[in-house]
Amino acid sequence: MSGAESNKKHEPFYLRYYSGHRGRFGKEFIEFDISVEPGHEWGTMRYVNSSNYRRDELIRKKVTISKTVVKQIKIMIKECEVMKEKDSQWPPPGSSGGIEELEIRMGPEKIVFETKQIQTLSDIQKSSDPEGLRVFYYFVTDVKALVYSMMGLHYKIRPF
Amino acid sequence: MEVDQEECSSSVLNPARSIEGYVIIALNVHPEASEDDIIDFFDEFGKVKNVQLNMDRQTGYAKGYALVEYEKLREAETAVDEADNSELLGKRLVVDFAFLEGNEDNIQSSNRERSRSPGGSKRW
Repeated sequence: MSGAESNKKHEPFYLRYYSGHRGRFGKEFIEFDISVEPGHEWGTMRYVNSSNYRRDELIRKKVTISKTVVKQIKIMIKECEVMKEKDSQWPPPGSSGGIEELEIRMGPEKIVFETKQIQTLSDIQKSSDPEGLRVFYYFVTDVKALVYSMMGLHYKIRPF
Repeated sequence: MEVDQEECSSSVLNPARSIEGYVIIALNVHPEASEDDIIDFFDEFGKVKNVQLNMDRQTGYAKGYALVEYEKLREAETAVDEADNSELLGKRLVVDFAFLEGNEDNIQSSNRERSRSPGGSKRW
């Protein structure tokens, strides 16, 4: 990898993921975003978790991350080509099923996806666009793993 | 080959301390690398306190990055200086600090926060 190719100098970048539902314990959600301001070579990672079960508090974290972390996230976006998908055939969020949102702005490209929370792999299989939804699901799973690992190491919390 | 040494070091901000030490990130990790491979490699620069080698959930292979924590800044600095641009299992690593000193704010809690934004329209 020639590092230079995946990180255009100080290119603004934004990724936001939200997953939430209204359940037995009220409104519960996690949300994180990763952003790079124009002209900055570092980024910011923010994380919020509101779970009313067991831990009756809102966890809110914000930390500055190196451009190398941002580079890894961009690599993951490019590898799976999630930005080429469309959410038009995905199960729409209902009033009961919860919602997942993914927003990415990278260079000139921008996507905003919205779908009903995916609970099991059969939710993907049953949808009208299983290939696209699978790309979304695995990308989200992998980027969550990165964010949770970082938050876990930095703050010694179990972020979920 | 002096590949983007400058490109890959976050020279503007200082590394930030995590609760138990300093976390570095390695990119371009071989898909078949194991956690033991990572520990063996990075133990050269100091005592590795924590490792996270996340898997690609679809393939089961390593996703391509590793997070490594040292207790001391000096150990982490040595790892960043010496491991960056070096080879592990035939792949050239990019190694850097994961966290930098910026304007961090960690607001723990509270009910106050939650009741203020019941609709979730402004979550931050």
